[in-house]
Amino acid sequence: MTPIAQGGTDGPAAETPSPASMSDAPHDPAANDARAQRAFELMLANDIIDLERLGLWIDEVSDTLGVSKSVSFGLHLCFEEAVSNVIRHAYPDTPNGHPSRGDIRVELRTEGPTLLATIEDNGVAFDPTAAADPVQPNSVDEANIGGLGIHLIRQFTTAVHYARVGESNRLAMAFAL
Amino acid sequence: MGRHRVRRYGAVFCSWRHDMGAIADAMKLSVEELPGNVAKANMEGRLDIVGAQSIDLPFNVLVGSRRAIVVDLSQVTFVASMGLRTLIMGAKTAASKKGKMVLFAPKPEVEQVLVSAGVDTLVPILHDLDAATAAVRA
Repeated sequence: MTPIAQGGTDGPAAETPSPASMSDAPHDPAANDARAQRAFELMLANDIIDLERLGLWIDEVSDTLGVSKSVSFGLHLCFEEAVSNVIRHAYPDTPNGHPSRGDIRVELRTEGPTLLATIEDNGVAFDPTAAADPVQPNSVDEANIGGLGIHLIRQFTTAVHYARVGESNRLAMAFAL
Repeated sequence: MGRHRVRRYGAVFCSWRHDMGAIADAMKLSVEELPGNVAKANMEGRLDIVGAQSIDLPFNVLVGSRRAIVVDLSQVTFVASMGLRTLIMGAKTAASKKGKMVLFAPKPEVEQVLVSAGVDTLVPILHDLDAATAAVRA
């Protein structure tokens, strides 16, 4: 795994226990204007139950950065879709049916007018952006449920990019601030 | 994972644990009877994965047992694909029983998700209660 940003030997605004400490320390202490690059990171287990913790973290970061309600909504939506995808695909059960443990690292970082969200796991290679967009069904009876996640991510972001980096999957999603 | 030390939430994690009961029923579903044998299904809360799971069964039972259902989304603050699945499955169940179901009064950001996913082409979205009840009674 690569460092999440420049500098920061003591873990750049790593997983933060409270909103108070979250507001600390942009990467470059000298740059404290509103446009300063700021990054926040959280580690999750590959368990649906951790989505609650993810939601709290998104609320905290949204408050700290003062993003609009609609950006915050988009973050909740896209993170839920992307992280639940990783939980479903990245760490398959062992052959004897035991769930595999795996970590999922999520990050939010401001880059000028853009908010960049990154989701990284060490699981099996899986490119969610390769999935075809769902075909619009003509009726309720035809409606094929599923495959909506990446479609929604595309609709609510300005850019989506997947890369296999070494042994990691990395999905980056950009939002306009 | 990598060089980043994982620092588990202390207080926040514990308080989240403490709130498990609240989270389990964070999504509320209640039924209101309207004239003309119309059932108004009032959903309240976040229709995320956890919320969708918590109402899937009672909602499906409701739409399978009534002919005219108005799903009131006015108190739903969030929806993601699992919540869309709940709504689409409900509409399928209603259609299979020759019932009618419409969605009523979603908040703008919730409606944006519904429209982005094409749900509005499967289940009508209406913002006027009289129009909604008329649509399911017809």
